[in-house]
Amino acid sequence: MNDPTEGSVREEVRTWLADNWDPNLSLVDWRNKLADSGWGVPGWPKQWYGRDLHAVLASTVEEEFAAINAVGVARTGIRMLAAATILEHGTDVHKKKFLRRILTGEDTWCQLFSEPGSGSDLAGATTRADYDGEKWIINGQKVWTTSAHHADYGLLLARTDWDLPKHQGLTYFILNMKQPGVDVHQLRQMNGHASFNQVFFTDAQIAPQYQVDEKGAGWKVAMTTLAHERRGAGGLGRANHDSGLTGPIYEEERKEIATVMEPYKWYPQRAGRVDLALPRARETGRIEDANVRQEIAKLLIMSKSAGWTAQRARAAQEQGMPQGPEGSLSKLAASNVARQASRVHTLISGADALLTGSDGAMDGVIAEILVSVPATSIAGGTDEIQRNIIAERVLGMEKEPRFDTGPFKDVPKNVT
Amino acid sequence: MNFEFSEEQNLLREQAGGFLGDHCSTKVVRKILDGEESYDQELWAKVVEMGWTATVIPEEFDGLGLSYLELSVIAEELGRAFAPLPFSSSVYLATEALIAAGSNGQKEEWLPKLAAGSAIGCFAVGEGTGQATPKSLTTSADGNGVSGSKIPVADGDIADFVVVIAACASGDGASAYLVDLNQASVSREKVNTIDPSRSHAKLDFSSASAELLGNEGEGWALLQKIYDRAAVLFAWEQVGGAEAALEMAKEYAMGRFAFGRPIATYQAIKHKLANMYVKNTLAKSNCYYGAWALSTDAAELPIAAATARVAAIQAYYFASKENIQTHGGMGFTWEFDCQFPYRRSKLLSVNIGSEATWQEKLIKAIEEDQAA
Repeated sequence: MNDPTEGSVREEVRTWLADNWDPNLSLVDWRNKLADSGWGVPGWPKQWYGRDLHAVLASTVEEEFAAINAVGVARTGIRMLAAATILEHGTDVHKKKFLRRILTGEDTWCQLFSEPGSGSDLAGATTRADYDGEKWIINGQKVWTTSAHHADYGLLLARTDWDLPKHQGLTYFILNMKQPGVDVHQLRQMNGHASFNQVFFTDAQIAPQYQVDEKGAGWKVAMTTLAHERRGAGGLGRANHDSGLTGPIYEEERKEIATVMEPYKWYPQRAGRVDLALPRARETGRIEDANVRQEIAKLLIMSKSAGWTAQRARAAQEQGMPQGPEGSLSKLAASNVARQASRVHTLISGADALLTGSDGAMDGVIAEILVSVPATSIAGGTDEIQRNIIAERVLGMEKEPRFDTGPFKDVPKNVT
Repeated sequence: MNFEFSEEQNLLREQAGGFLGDHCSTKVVRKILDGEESYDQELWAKVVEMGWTATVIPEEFDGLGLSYLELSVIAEELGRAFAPLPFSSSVYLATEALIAAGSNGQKEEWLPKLAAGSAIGCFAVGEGTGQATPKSLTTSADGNGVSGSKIPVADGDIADFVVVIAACASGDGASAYLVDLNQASVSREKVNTIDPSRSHAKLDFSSASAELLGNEGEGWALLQKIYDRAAVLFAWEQVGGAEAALEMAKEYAMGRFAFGRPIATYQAIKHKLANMYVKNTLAKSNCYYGAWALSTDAAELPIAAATARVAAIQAYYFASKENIQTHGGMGFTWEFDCQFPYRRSKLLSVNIGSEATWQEKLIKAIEEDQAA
């Protein structure tokens, strides 16, 4: 058989869509058709709901879907990170049980990595998994878990050996969230939103077949999940077709996306809302103030610099260059932009910036910026960790002396 | 839009970097800093021989007719080497002024000489404290020629001609003039600055014979145009210098021991250097954008130039001061090289308008852009 070309793929998917796309199907029925045909995730292996197509051809398929407003597979939230990890490290049992329901959207997932005692130092996890001869028993606590309150399954990193050095004693599991030993509590942030959860395990159980990869290989598997997360596989919900389409399948999809997106509604404010700086300055007349102008100029320069840098990174990757330190660089740039934006909005609004809700400037959006920005330099790796990455991996500076290389049980830890 | 240089341009960078590594070590910079010479004439002759002064001059005027991307590559390397040369005055400013506004006769007279390095040009705007405006200018022209004083004028002591921005009663309030510096009615006096590796002068004109460059009353607009173009090239020099400062700091931190380990292993030092890297890289992205806008004569040039200029001023100052800090007390000595990037960063932060001036230009450009 000839290798598929852009033309042959386009032709084939068009024909298939013409024969099969039906906006009157239920969301799950339609997505089952996608899973059976391989057109929903054409980049995946043929054996597992895909068509083994190269990324470029897979995007051709996406274009054809978008052209006729056909709904795609479920992509939002943690589910695509789970899928990528299972495809790379999972057994056939995992693939069979989980992948299809990930694509149809029937199951939602969460990521159980961070703990109260180990944020930046992720490998210092102390949630324990003990084998009782039949099953794994889980005890401990996770935190910052988006969507845990409605997730069906969790990707769990837990300690299975306390005598080995910390990275070697971790194992990766798939945990059923709907069981008695799992308690989920919302965690309220200083901006008033509650986007994340704390998850408590009290003798929660995992059958041995839901261990992923070898015992002790947890760190390696977690790195796969995180690499996909950095590449942006964790979808913030966006449909690949026009918004505002009517019909039952679109309604269903919109509801799905809305549920996943709910925790992220303050994220634009977290980034500082650079887009509002000039319009606000004009609207309030503060644009005439020389100091305000200078501070806005600084902000716009920082923001443009970050934008061009991101574009350069994308261009380099498109030319096949390996992913460099751009992630750390962009994160630090984003922190600086957010802080400066917060400063600018305060300068523009003056005391009005204090008022929240409907009393406040722009119905409280300005105030929400001020109390959301501090998250930017922490979430997804603190500024300090990003600077270490740049210093060590880009500039080649030696690591600091470490005190955590011996058996994990002897490593000084947080008292919890 | 290109975000990286082509293979040929990178080859040029290697050549330029290698050449300057061989012929423009900090020993060469120090010789100018400590000595009486205004610039390194031997190095200048070699730079001219390599065709760098001819880079963007059209072939019809004996130039190489290359693009501003090539010139950007050269600018970055000259900046990295803190080259003690009149390159920026002659190439980024005087040559640009002639290309932008020169009559065919003026181009024929000067461009081949600029390309061949047999003439050096300079550019005179400021007249002392504060940012010059059309209203603040006291240098003016009448039927007898140009009169007034300009200070500081980079390379004014050694240049063959100068482009003078003088007050004008009509139009935008200024006119540009070409003035041959080898005439009795111009006196020039070398002045001391905080960067003695780049010479500066005070020029006094008393009815000096001058030729109008461009139209009368359009000098201020011409100045903005030339500054927008030069800002991108200066920004490349600044980024080159900032990268050199980071490199210096890194080398030192990795070899310097304190409390039993290299100071490079302390986060206090690592984070300082990581911050330098971030500022340099962000500024460089703006330089790429600027180089693209310059090489394609894009409408975005004023915005691109302003962002590149401000980001480069900030990055260079930050890198050069933190380089001194990383070196500790010895970084503050005459003996150490830390002074070169620091002096140069200060010079380049004010030479064609300060950070604040360019921030204001950016806001205005964006306002105009959005109004259009």
